[in-house]
Amino acid sequence: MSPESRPATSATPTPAQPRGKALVVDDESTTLLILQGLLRKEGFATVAASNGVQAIESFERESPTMVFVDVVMPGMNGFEVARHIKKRAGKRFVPILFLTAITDENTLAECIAAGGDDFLTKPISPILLRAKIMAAERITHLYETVQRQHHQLLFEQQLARQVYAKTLKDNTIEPGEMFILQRPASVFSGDLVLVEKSPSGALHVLLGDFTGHGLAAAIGALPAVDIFRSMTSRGYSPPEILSEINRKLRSFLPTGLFLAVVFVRLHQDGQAFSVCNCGLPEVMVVDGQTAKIKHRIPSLCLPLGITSRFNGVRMNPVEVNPGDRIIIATDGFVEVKNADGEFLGNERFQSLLENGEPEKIFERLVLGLDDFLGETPLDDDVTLVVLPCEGHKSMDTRNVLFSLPDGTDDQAAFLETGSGDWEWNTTVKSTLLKTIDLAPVLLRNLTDLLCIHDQRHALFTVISELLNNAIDHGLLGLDSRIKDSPEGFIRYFEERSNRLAALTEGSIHISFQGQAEAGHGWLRIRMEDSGEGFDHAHWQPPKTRHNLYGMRGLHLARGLCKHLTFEGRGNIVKAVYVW
Amino acid sequence: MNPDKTRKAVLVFDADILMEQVMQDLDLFREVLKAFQTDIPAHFSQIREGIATGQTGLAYRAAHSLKGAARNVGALELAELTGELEQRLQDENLEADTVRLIVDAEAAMDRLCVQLDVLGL
Repeated sequence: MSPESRPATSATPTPAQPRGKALVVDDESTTLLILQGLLRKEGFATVAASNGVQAIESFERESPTMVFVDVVMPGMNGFEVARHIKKRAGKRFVPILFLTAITDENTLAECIAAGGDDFLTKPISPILLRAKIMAAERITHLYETVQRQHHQLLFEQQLARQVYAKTLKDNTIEPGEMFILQRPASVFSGDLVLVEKSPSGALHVLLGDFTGHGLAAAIGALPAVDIFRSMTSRGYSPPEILSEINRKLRSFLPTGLFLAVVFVRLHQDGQAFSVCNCGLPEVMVVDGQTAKIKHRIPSLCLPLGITSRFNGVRMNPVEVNPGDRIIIATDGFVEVKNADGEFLGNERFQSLLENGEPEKIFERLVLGLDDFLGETPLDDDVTLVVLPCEGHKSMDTRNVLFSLPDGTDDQAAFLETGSGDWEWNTTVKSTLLKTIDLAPVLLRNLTDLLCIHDQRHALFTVISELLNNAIDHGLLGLDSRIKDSPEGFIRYFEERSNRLAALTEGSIHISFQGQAEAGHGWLRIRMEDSGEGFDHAHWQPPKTRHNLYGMRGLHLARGLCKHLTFEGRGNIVKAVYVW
Repeated sequence: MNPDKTRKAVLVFDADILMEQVMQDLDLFREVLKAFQTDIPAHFSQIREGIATGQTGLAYRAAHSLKGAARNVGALELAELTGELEQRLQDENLEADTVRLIVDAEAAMDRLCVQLDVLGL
């Protein structure tokens, strides 16, 4: 048999897949040669060093993925080399395998103590070497996976924190109108405070406390914030918003994760508010005059995200006077624990509320919390909102541009004859009025048809006031004079929901005509209800502040419209809104 | 104590030991043996120098390396003698016996070189 035809033996195996670079450190050349030879057969590129200094240089220069170091060497011994290399590797995992002819247990233990990951005894057994390389590679792989996942986790936490912070910081409310304290227990808080004004000028405040912190809370917060913002700005009522958040969380959140909330709707004049407490501690109202707690609104609903059907959400109307303060806090506040393991508790909380000027409640609570807590870290997120009951600015009507299209100076003629690009007629039966809030639905369609995002707030006021008038006075026959006092205001709304529930017949016919172009346009609204109507000939704007509640909305609508008239027996209203 | 009397007769050279380690790679086998022969004189001179100058540490490390190399290549007789030498140097035993052991090791080394030469390695 000629040398050429000799069959391949194990002496010349095909090189394995490339699997990294091995640094071999030994002062003795036969070991260097044998080990390098074997490693090459395993698919490694090899670098050799015959002493410690060379080894460290090679490590820096070549960035090997595995290191083999002889223990007994002149100069720096193997243990020192290993320590240097581990330090220089930093967060990169580079397995170090010691080579030793010494097999006593102490030496082997010392190998591991010095940062070695394994050892090989000399003379080297190729089978053992292969097994140890595979073991080292498995550890490296595991380490890299853990590192990658750790980085991913940190990245995601960072991301969640940014998103969460950004989402919550977007509150558009002017500073000074309310006071908010947020103390997170961990990386970021599982609490959220949302504030938004509805198109009618009411202030919506939502304080939420997620079970759990961190990523889990952020996941739930995103849809909650989104729903709160968009539904509030489109004029939906708090029960509808809560119900939608509940529905979303229910489908989003895993079992066991839920959101306790307090939803407050403060009317524009600051003299009445309604609240829904779903699983948070009592909402307190402190009287601006007597500095005593005058209302407590306990939780009457389940937190959001627990039941699939979120029925029976009722906003409890509460009468307040300007100067009163509404205090909402998460349970983290009264459950704050100091260094002695003592809770802050309800008694301390209440004495902080009542002992002092009502204007300083927020400061007192914050200082009281700090005094009580000392240096002790929080174990739950603490969030506190103090909301002064004061009239606040409604949407800025000064920005609404009033001008008629060219050649339409004659208002009356325009109202009667002008025809627009489109017309939209709809009849709504009383049964539908019980289940849906019509104003946001109408507004959304109009916004799309007319491209009038900047007019949305004013237009919403007009439409919702006209609708309220048609429903309350037309279909339900309510007398708006009930609303002449704050107590009556609350009675009015109770009466309204009772009558609406009992309503079986009646309808409202609504007709829109309009035209819009380049940011300007007009909208003609006609609403006819099937009710009794009223004596519109004697309808006058309210003159005094005493008549704060009755028919106020209608006058607001008239102020926003170019033209507003009643016809028929008072059951038909026509309005023209121009921008 | 005369080391000769207590020592069993061992093979000067067992080629299978290195062959197994290099996985029957004849080229690598030759390369290792060549490096071994090249390095040996330096190891011996370090052992002698260390003993002469009282640097037993230096002598010990050289003996340790030599023993390791001898074991790697299957130079069994040399490995046994240098192993014994390494132990004595580690114990800082510099008696006449130890020096005698160096001479024995050098003789074993010569026998090995003759064998390798005969084998054409």
